[in-house]
Formats: sequence, structure tokens, C-alpha cells
Amino acid sequence: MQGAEAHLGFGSEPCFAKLWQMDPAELELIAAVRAGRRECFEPLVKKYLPRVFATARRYARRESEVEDIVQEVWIKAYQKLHTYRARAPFEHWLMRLTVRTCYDFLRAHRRNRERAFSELTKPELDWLEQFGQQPDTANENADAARQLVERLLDRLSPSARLVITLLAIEGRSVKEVSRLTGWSVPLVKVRAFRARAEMRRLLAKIATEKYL
Amino acid sequence: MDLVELERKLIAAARANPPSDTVPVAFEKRVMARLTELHAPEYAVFWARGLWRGAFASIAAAVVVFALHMIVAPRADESEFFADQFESAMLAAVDQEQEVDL
Repeated sequence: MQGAEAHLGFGSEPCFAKLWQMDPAELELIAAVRAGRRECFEPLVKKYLPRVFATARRYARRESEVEDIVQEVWIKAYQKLHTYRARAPFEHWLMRLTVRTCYDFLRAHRRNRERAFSELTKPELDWLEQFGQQPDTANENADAARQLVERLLDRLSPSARLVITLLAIEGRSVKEVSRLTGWSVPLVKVRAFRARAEMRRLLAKIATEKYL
Repeated sequence: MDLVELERKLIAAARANPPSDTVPVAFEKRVMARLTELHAPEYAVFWARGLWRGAFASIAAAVVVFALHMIVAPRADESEFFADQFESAMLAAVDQEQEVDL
């Protein structure tokens, strides 16, 4: 096993248990790319594209922006592949890179978040109306609900949106969020607290503007 | 309006509608083409970079050698130099007279 590890070039630390969990074919591909065979990167790209696309679509609405993010992720993955140490599955490393690239995108593309909620569509207003009168009957599977939450997420600050998406929507633990974002656990907790407060303020604004 | 319940319902709506994982056709080819474009060797840049490095290294070496020369090479005391020259000039006439007498 030590010979195989040396052959694959993943450093001198013994991590045999971890290596057993990983796809050996994948490790071979990564080693080949690191040795200079760029064409071996394509099977990795093809394998993980759906996952990267799904993640990017949580943070960008326009498909052109989603494609830009995904392309950026893979360029960074290729350029930083020498830093992958095989201590965790490649997918984890890639997802960490993806989340951070999405966060950079959010920060770089902060739109004017002060659009009034008076731009709500009729279905959205009807859904809110129904919720206001009888909360239990407001269907959370309705398109209007989905559009409302997307509008709400678009209005959040980048860090708030990221932490709400990872913690509340994707249901990840604080520790997982910390690993994905590179933030410390206390920082994740602080940002989660602030994100929820920000969300409540926006929801209060919806309620106020709706009833004015 | 119960904002806590509204938040809960909207988060549930987001959970119930995960984003699509569809991939545009041949997207991996686009990625590979972009990587090839980014990592294509630029010979002009390669040579320019090498020449600039050579130039800076030469200048740095010249500066170091000059500094060493200034530190190590003995510096003549200028006042003593001029005093010797003056004395030689003054005594030249006396030396010539002595030679004639002899």
C-alpha cells in the first residue's frame, strides 16, 4: 500500500484507511493529471459536473452566470489539484472549492438589493394573502412559495445567503459548513445568527409593504 | 402575520425544490478547451521573462561588485597625496641644483 501511495504521489503521511474508501480509478486519474496528462482531467469533470451545477444553481439565477461559476470552479480545481492530499474524498475537496467560488461570485455580483417588494407578482401576493389568513392552507410546494423564497435569498447579504442555504436549506451541520466555507465554527454560528436576523427583517418588510 | 411560521414555510419550499443538476451538452469539452487555452505556452512571454530576469540579475551583480569594491579597496588619503605631490614639486628644484653642483 505504501508503494501505491508513493506511486500516486499523495504525500508521505500514511492515510491507508482513507485511501481504501476512495475510488482507486479516481486517484489514478488525479495522479495522471498531476503528472502532466491534462486529458485525464476530463473524466473527473464529467463525473462531478451535475453536482457542481446543482450547487451553483443555488446561488445564481441566470444560466449564463451558473455556467461561468462552474467553469471557474473547474479551472481552479485544475490549477489547485496539486494541493489535494487525498485525506478526504475528492468530491469533498471539490465541493469546498465550489462553495467558496459561489461565495466569491455572490460578493462580486451584489446587485441592488433594495428593490421594493412591491414588485411581487400576483401569484406571490395571493400566496402571502392566503398565508396571512390561514397559514396552514398556504402550500409550501406552490411555485409562488418557491419564487418568494428565491426573491428573499436574492435580497440577503452574501454571507447570510450562504449560511442560510447551507444550514437551513441543505440541512448541513455547523461543522460541515465550517469545513465547506473555511470559516471557524464560532464564526459560522455568529453569521447564522445574523443571517436569521436579516431574514426576519426582510420578512417583516414584506409584511409591512404588503399591508400598506 | 406570523413571521416565524412564514420563514419556516419558505425554507420548506426551498428544500422541497432543489435546483436541477442538468448539465449543458458537451460542457466538459468547453471546460477542457478553456484549460488548454489558459495553459498554452506563450513563447514570446517566455523569452521576454527570461531576458528581463537576466537583465535584472546582471544589474544586481554589478551593484554588488561595485559595493564590494568600495568597501574592500584601500582609499588613498587625499590630503597626504596632495602633500606628497607638493613636496615633490617644491624639492624638485632643489634636487636639480644639487645635481648641477655635483
